[in-house]
This record gives sequence, C-alpha cells and structure tokens, in this order.
Amino acid sequence: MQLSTVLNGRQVSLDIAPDARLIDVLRNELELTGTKEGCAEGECGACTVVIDGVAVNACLVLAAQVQGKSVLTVEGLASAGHANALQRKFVELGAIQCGFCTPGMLMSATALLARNSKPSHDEIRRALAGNLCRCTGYAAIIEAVAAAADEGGSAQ
Amino acid sequence: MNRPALLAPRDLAALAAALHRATPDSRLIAGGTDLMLRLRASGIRPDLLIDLSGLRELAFIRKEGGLVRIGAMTTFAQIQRDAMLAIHASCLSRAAAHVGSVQIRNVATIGGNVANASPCADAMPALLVLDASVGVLNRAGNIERRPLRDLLAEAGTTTLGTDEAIVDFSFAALSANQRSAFGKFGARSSVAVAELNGAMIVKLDETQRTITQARIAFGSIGPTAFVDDRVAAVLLDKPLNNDTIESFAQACSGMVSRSIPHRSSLPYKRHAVRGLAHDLGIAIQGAPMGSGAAEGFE
Repeated sequence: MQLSTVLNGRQVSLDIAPDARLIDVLRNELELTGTKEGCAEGECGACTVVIDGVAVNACLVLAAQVQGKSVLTVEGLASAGHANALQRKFVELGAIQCGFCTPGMLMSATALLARNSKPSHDEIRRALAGNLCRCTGYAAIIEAVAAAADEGGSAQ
Repeated sequence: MNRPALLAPRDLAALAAALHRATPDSRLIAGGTDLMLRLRASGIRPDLLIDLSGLRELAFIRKEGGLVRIGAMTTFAQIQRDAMLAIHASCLSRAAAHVGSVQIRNVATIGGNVANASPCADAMPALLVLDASVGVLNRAGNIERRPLRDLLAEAGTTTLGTDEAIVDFSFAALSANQRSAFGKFGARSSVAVAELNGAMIVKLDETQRTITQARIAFGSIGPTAFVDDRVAAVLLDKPLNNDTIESFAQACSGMVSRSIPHRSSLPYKRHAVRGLAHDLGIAIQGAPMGSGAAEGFE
C-alpha cells in the first residue's frame, strides 16, 4: 500500500506492507536508524517518536496508521547540522552514557516541552516513565530536560 | 508470505461494509498496542486488518443528561485528562491514568482494551462497577446495546462475533452521594501490567457517614474481571472508616481464595489483595462525589 506522511517536516510517500510496524518502516525503508528498537513490546520507550504532537512507541504502531499524519523522529530535532537546545543540554549535562535510550528520551521530552514549556521535575519524571535507561542516568536526564525548559524548551 | 488486506473505514457505514468481509482470521486494530504484540508473538497472519484509527466519530466523551458516553476509539490519555470523567466516573479516570506509559496511553483505546480482553485490562473493573453497556455495530450497520458483562468470555476473547465491532460505552454518571475509586498492584508504580486491579463505587447516606450501596469489581484474578457481591456486602450499613476498610481487606483475601483456589499465585495474591483493598479504601475516602442527574446504579 502507498503511505503518505509528513516525516520530520517533509512530505514522504512510499510503498509499505499493510502489516508493517512503524519502526521497521523508519529504520529499514527510510534508513532513519536513530529510532532504536529495545524491548519491542512497549516497555522501554527506546523507539519513541512523536506523532501529531504526542509521544508514541514506534514498535507498537502500524505504519499504515500514520497515513496523513505528521511524524517526528530524533533525526528531525537538529537543523542544518546543529543540535537543538534539548540535545545540547543532554550533551552538556552528561545525560548520555551508552546512548541507546537517548533518542527515545529526547522524543518523550520533546512531546512534553511542546505542551508544557515549564514542567516541574515531577512532570518530567512522569513524562519519561515509559523510557528506560539501563545505565541508570535518570537524574542527569531529568536535569537536562529541566535545563532545556529553562532555555525556552526544545526551540533551536 | 501472505500479507493481510487492509481496510481503513472513515465512517460507520464503511466499517459495516468492512465487517462484511471479515472472517475468523480477520482482526480489528484500534490503537494496536496489544494487537501488534499478539500478531508478532503468535505468528498468526490475519487475512484482513480493519484499521479503526480513521474513525474520528468514535473518539468522544460526552455527558447526555445523567448518562456518560465514551466512543470506542477514545484514548486513555483523553480519558485521563477529561474533567467531567474525573467527577462523574473517577474510577475510570484513575484506571486510564494507570494504563501503561505516556506513549501507550496516547494511542491505546478503551474499545481496544475491552475487545482485547486481557484478564488484567485496567478499564475492565472500572467499566464493570459502572455497569457499562457496550454499543456493538454489526455488518448490517445496526448498533445494539449489550451489558459489558455479556461480552466477557475467556482470557483474550470476547463473545463478539467476527462481524461485530465495539462503537461506544455508556453508563450512569455517579450521583451526588456516590464515590468511586480504582486501585492497581504491579511490579512498578508506573508502566506495570496489573498483578491485581480493582474498582469500587460506594453510595453514602445523606449524612455522608453510612455506606448504603457498594459495588466492587476485580481484575487479574482468574480469566476475566468480575463483580463480587460478597465482598461488597461487607461494606453495607457500615461507616466509611478504617475499621470498615480492614474488614473489607479481609473479605478481599477470602475472595481470592474462592476465586483461584488452585493457582500457584494464590498465597501471594491473597496477601497482596489486602494492600489493594487498603489503597481502594484510602482512595474512596478522598474521592470526589459525583453529581449526576441519574440515580446511580442498582
């Protein structure tokens, strides 16, 4: 079937299998490998992408269901090769260790900051409850999101 | 490898037409958070997937007089955020807040939760205490109402036919003297599959002291969620206080013994359910009172 969607701000159209998962279309068909597959069952959040403004696990979404919608992946955060404020804070504050959970963390935080530009630490924790970090770097991750919010959210 | 056909109806007439083509091997997909896993784990290859996500008319929360109606494609995020439900169906509001993670709640729907029929589905005990009825669309395009309890069958299946789809839920809004609560026991405080869950509604007398009606439902104990009148009876004509909650907790323990006498999880769940009962007790003492026009439940 033909899938048309706005991906990272650009209209894309491609032929997909009707039962394909969104994560497979992103990684295998579109070669956007920033979105990671961890548990493949909606527990770890490594595959989190933002669909029409809300965080979603790409491993549990039928690709066909993003027809006509807007999908943002981690590749869509930087512009012209420059990391955005949220990404910079993750780097500056050591919120990245092995890095595997980072794309999912960034996308959950992006969805949070889009609707709540000044989240409390509790709100940040709740927004990231569906993202697991095996390096257990949670404290630095929460600080990074709070610092990005102080700088005006995920804006460039 | 055979790929399924995919139909994405945009309105109920198109859904009815799609149901005409459904076979026992076909699957309806709502949010997909359960089905996508099931398909991969089971290796089942459906002949037809009917994608319900384009049915915008089934994503709604409304109060019509004393009746609350929720469309099948309403997400748990929408239910969790809804101010009217927080008052008139607080047990369902709280159940929605306990489903999975942010990412899951953003796509998982109340219709999918019920149709998937997991023994630990969080919406189920809440909808059972609310005595919800389910609107079911058939392939002829007619919608028929059935009590939710009539849909319950074995774990993972419902009594729905292959050519039927859930379109909405409806129940009486909580009345002025009613309060409701939801409780859940899992391995983590969030993003956990329920090891035990339950919902309760109590009705208090005019002085707000004595419980005059009570209805309790449990999930994750046995193949389907169920309403338990014996446990509810313990609360009748009692004040809503800690002593009453303690006898309620003991009754819950007995209920687990009756319900799953041969399960290996019995010793654990018999003990754990006491914690769930106390959580429900604390929640219901602090719960908002409904103020629906309806006279509540039977």
